[in-house]
Amino acid sequence: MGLKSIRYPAGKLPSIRVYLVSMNLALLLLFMAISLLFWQQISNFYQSEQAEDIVSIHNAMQARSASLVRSMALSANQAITGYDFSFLINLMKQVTDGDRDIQYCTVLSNLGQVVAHNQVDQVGRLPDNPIDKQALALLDDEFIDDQVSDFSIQFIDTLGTLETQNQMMQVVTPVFNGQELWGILYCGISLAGVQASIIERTAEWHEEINRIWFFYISVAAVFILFGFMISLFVTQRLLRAVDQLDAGVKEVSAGDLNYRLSMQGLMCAEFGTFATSFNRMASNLENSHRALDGYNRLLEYKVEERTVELARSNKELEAFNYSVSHDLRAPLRSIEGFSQVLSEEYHDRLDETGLDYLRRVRAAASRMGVLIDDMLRLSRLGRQEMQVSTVDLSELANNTLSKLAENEPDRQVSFQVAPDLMVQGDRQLLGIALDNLIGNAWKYTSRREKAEIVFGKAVKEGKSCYFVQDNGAGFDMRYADKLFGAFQRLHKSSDFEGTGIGLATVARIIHRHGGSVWAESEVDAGATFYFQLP
Amino acid sequence: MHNLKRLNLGCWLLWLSLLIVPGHVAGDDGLRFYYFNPDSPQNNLGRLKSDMESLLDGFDMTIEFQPFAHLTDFDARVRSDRPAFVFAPHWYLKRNADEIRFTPLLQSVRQQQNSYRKLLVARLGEDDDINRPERLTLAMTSLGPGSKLLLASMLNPENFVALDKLSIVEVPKDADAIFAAALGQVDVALVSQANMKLFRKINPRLIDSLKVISESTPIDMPVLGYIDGVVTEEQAAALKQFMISSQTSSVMRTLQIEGWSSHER
Repeated sequence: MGLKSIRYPAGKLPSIRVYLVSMNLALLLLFMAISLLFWQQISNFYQSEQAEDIVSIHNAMQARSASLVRSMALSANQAITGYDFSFLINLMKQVTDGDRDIQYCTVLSNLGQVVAHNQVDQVGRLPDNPIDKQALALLDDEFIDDQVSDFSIQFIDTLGTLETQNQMMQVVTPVFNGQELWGILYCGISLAGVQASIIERTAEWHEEINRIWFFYISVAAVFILFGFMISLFVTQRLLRAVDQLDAGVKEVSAGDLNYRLSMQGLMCAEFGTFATSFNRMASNLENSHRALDGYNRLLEYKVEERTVELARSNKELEAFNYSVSHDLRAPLRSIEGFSQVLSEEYHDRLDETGLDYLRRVRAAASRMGVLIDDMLRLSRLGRQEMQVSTVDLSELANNTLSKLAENEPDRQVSFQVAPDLMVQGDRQLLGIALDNLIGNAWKYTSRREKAEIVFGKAVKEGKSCYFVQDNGAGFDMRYADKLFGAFQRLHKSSDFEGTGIGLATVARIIHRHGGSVWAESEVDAGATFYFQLP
Repeated sequence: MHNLKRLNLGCWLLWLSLLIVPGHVAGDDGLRFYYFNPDSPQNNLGRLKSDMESLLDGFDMTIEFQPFAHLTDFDARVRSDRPAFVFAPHWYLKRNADEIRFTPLLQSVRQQQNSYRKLLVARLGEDDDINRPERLTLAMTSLGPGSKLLLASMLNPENFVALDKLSIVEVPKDADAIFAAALGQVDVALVSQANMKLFRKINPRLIDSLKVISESTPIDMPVLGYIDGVVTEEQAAALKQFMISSQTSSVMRTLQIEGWSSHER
């Protein structure tokens, strides 16, 4: 897990603020969703309760009406048996007068005539409206087999009765003359009262729902407000703590190992533990760093000491070289002088063998002189002060090639120099270096009929560098490490002249400029010498 | 617990005594005024009782007014309760006055007459002709025992059918006879002229379905009197004076009479 997390750059991960804000928003949305769900359930509950209430009111009305009509039917039975129509009519009138919900009461005989009605002028009429006919039909459809004691009740309700104020409910019951089914009694019950009760009850329900809704909204608002404030407070404290930790970590990571996380305002135990651990880690790191600093200082001291010693040794060695080289010149000049005297003045006294030996002595002395000169030149390079300026390497290369071409005009050499290769360095030293590199190329292409020398600029391993390339003899790369050593030669003197000082000189000059030099080659396929300057 | 059972038993006995002796308690507190008038167009006995009680509140004595719808009830209670005052049909009092020691005080007057007539009506058939089955049923208010004889004295048999072929159906009120005839429950009905007039106003449909066959001889209007031995003559006279003085009150409309006339037995 730890390794995996390292793969993601910290900058691409979301901030903890995003998580905290998202979490708070998610909680808010969750609360609202739950509230919505809760409210829906409450509404459903109230709606079902309200519906039950309405049904209950309606049923109560039916029960009351049925009870009343049954009682009237009993009286009607008595009245009809005793021809007491006036009593029946009076009863109906009193009932309808006494109960505003009862709009009318009628007794229809089985002959199909109104025999009693709360309005006496209605007595004697024939059934002439749908309700009368519907009620009369019940006589054959529902009550035909009824007995006196059955007290059957039927309701004639039109659809949508509860929706309009003017709807009526007809409560119908059979009327007997003795034991004989004689007719029907029905009363028209106005549902206006029921409707008013329902409207009143509905209003009460709505008021109750509104009250609950107001209460709920108020509580929810207070809850959300307090929740938001608490959330804001906690989030701010958390973010402050996180920022505090973050600042501390950045401070320490920037190198201030003395920095310690404050324990104040960290808010929670985990942050405290983190800060404690971090401070302990910073302390350990600081101790380690201090120890490392000690080691570094000691090392630097030792390096400096060694450098001083080395410089002193180098100086002594150079002085020694110089003095040796210089001191060797005196006897060498004696050897050269006396061998020249011998060659000129005792030429005729020496035989061929003696003359041959004398020539060899003189050649060796001459070669030794060259060696001493090269050694002197090499030792001077280390001591010479550098004069840094802008140097046109292209110009230096062209000058060197021109001189070489003048010295050996018979050679077929094609050379190519990239223009305007400007660097910062010591013009004289860089000239010596280029003389050696181009001179080597000139020398090792001497056996080529068509020699080619190129000086240019290239990019190696992402760094800009300069090269001298030839198509000469090349060398074996196995000995490349010896290439830049003094007096190291990869070819026989009989094949190619040289002292083995040239490339050592090049290496010393380039190193003095803070650069590097290397070569690539293949035997008989030419060589390329690269040097890089800062 | 024992005392509680005793108390409970006592309550039951008290309640039973009230059931067995109706009016006993009320009679102890005041005088009774019993009313029975089946031929009156006033069918609403409740309203009648209420109006009369209001009227009698102005009388010096406490009087309980009780109307009756059925002759049998009225007769039984008159004999058992011995009310102070009675308002009843003339034929009833004529028949029972001695027995119940009834003394008339006032006779009701309607249309300035102290008598009225009854009409014999029959329901019209589909061809506006009177249905005359062989055996007729006749609805009328009760005339007590001997209704047929009394009926015979009231009707001219030549105008109708032989009385021996009549089946009399006694109805509580005169209006019920109209209903019974008009609604086809009976073949003919004997009803008062006043009720016919009244019903022509309130339900002409019913009256239009009836045809008058004959008219009775005059029948005396109901009589108000007192029972000897229950009230004194002075008390009776006081009531008489009170009722005469109340002739302009609205209760007369409730009684469906216009006034009173002196009545001598």
